[in-house]
Amino acid sequence: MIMVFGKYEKILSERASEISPDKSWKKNFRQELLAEIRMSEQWQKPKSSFISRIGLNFFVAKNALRPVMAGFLVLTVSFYGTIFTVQGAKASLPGDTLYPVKIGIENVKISLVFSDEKKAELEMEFAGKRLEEAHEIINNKEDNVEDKLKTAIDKFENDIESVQKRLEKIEKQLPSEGKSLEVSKMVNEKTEELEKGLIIIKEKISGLSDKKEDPKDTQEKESVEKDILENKEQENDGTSSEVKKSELSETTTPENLKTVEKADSKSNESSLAQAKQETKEEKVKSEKDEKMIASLDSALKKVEEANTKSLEVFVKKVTDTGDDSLKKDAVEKIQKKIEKIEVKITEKEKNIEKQEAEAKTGQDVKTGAEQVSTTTKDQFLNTKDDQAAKTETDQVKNQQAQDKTVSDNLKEAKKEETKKAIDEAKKMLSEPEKTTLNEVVEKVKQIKIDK
Amino acid sequence: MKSSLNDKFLVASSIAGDEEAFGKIYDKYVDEIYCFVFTRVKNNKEEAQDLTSETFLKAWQYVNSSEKMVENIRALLYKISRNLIIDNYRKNGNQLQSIDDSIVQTLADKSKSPQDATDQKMEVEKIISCLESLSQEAKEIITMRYMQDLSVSEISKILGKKAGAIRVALHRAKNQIKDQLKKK
Repeated sequence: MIMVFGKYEKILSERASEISPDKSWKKNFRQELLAEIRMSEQWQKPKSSFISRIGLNFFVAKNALRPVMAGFLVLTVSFYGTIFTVQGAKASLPGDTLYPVKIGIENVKISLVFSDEKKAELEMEFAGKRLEEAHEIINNKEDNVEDKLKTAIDKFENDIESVQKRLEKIEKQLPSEGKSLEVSKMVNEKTEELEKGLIIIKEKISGLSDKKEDPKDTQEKESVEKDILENKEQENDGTSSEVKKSELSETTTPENLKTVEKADSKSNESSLAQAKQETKEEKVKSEKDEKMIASLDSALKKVEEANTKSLEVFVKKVTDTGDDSLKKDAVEKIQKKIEKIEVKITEKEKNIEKQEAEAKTGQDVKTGAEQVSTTTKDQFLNTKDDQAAKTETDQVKNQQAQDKTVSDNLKEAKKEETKKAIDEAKKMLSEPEKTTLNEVVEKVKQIKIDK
Repeated sequence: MKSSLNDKFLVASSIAGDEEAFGKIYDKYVDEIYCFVFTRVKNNKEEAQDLTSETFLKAWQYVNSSEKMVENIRALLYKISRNLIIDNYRKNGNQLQSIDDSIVQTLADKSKSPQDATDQKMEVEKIISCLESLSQEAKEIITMRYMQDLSVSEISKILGKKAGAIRVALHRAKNQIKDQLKKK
């Protein structure tokens, strides 16, 4: 009989699986439901912070989440020993044993939220943490600074890249989905802060390396090295030892003389080795600093891209809403962006001028030396072969000069182009009746700062 | 299909302001809630859609405003939809029905071959007539248990009764159906 009833159970169950709503209704109502949620009072209320809210829910809703918390504690205790391990992980830095635990916890937090907006918020928060870590690493001046900094900056770049991808998804969302506006604005403002933070770190590293590469120190070291070498040469000629020998011959025995000779030679060799070692170490350090700066430059580029993307999304969403106060905000943001680009270009030009001035000074000294050398050489250039070689060198020099003129012209043309694009963007912004904000952003995106 | 740990995370995340988490709850339960409503509103598609929509909106409001954490979102959805159906029937002066008679025709229409359709139709007619002989509450418990695949504890939450009482009612209803089937 049970079997007979089982058959009817199956019929009822099958019947249920055959009744389903229209796909289009399902999809449309889903969007309506989420839009309704976003407009609800609870959702619009400013939140303390997502993590604190979720944290509050985890503990307030103790009945429902008791098994979850229990599972989490069991996992934590079994994998990492004690709950203090997790606390310790929070304060850890790249290179620490608990650092992977810290990153793991952050990844879990990201995977626990579903919307791209929330994920982007968390990723921005974690990118900020990576920057704090980078500051700490530089300030602590521990070993392997470059490796630790690279770990933090690489993770930072990953977070920023991920935020940018999420912005691309958010951009495609419907206008009713108001959260995208807030998130793009948040990313835009936060990326500006992150950029400042990165520049401070970069300046710190550059400052340290400048200090290390103080030309006076280098010259001093070079002269010390030269003295040591000369001393050694003299010693090989026997002059230095002879002086010392004559100085000491009256008061010392032949055995004592031998000891003095040996000691002099040893001390010179060790000083030379020490100076060489120091130069080598400095070279390695400067290479490491260059690598750190390159890594920071790459992060700065990513932040800049995310900033532009967030501005693009923000402006697009603002245009969709048609809200005047938001439009005013968007115009201010575009103006700020243009001003920032102008400042960057001015700084770049100043740097180039400085470098060129330095290069010219170096070139003048070199040319002076070359002229002396050429005059001396010319006096001895008698054969046809020598004359041919001289003509060839002159041709190469002419070619190099021509190349330089072409490259200068190109640079000048690019400069003009950038300036023109900036002026056009400014003009477009001042004529809102003729162009849309989206078009202005497109124009701003076209402005390329020559590297 | 018991309320999983995942549901609790989804509820916690939606309270925390992650609206997409509530979207996931919707994706998971919209089909069965629609089916539950559809079979109780005389297969009226528009009415079923309206009541299903209202169910999810009310559920969201409850989840967000309640001081207590929702332990079983599935049971909550069924409870809300059932109350909405009752309200709807009251408005129209009718009584809540556990399952509609038109179920027989719908099922027969969906069968693959004419022979299958006839066989299915007969079987469904048989079970519907058995269900008709049950009390309103027993009918509802049987359909909830075997059609919506709800657990005894979930049914108890929806109907606001003790799980033991539901178990007893379910046992009695099954015996009644068996007796009816013996006679046929």
